[in-house]
Amino acid sequence: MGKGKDIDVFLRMNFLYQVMHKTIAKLPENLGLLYYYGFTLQMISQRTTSKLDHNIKSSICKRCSVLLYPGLTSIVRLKRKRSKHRVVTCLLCGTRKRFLCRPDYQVWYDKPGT
Amino acid sequence: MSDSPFLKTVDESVTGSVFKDLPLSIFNQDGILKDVSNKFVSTFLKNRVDSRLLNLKELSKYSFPLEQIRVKKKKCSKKRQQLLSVSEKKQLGLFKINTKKLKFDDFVPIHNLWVQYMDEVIQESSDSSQLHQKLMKADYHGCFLVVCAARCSPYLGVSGIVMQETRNTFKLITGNNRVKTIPKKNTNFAFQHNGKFYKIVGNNFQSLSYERAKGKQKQAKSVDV
Ligand SMILES: [Zn+2]
Repeated sequence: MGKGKDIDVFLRMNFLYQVMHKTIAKLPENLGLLYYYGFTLQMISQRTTSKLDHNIKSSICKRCSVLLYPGLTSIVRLKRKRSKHRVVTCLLCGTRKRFLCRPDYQVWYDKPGT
Repeated sequence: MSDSPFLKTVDESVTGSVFKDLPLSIFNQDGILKDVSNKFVSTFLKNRVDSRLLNLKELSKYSFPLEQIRVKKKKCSKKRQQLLSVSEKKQLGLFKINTKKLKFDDFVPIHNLWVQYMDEVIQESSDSSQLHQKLMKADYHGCFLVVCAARCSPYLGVSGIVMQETRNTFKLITGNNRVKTIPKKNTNFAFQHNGKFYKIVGNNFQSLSYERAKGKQKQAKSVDV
């Protein structure tokens, strides 16, 4: 985020992410539109080589680029086999994402001092 | 109490045969039971047993312990982790957008969001050349566009909120809840923001919406009608 010239790209990606949340609130059945907005969001970050925030990245399906909204387009389950983790399954294509649940764990980006 | 079927079977089990058919009195009471059970059993067996043993009458000759029938869990194939191809996306129906069910009112909150977004974009820029670059890179989903000049006369005066943007067209949703696709070539669009009018030359915008965010574009002259 340090570069000054890339600010409008981040503004645009932030705007698209909010648009996705609005569409899923108003038109939950219309998956085509959701896919379209998610795909443009992913492609913008890919073409301009600017990283998505990890919270945004983890809430978009990697495979079909649909917003993973718990209950509507995804299922969230907690599992305690191996180490305790959270499993998010996409209802459209069936891919799973796993997130470890460690206490006192911070992503590197959120740590103070970076 | 001696009339109940359960007691009878218990009595007969002592004499030798352990399992017997259900007594006829139960089948006669409601014929539904027979159909339902047959359907359920056949579908269950189809999923679990080899296809060569599908005849139910033949099955009754043999006895299967349950442990052999249990299916082993399939291992996750490597294909799962790969990205979707375009044909697979078509099969999932990701390219279909049901335009008949869309309503103009559903896009009003997106338009309100877009106004806030445009405020931030325009605020920072001071020079006209800088503003030009920023408007080229900006996003137009949710913008209220009006066609102000076009070579093709029926498109003139069409107005609506941008729903989708492709390489060569804008898809606008009009106030009558109808979706209209308007080509960018040889058309000029206009939108209003904070009392100022901005004009978009369609010929400059002929690229994918995410390609536009990347770099500099050439400027072409506006279209004369
Ligand atoms: Zn998915």
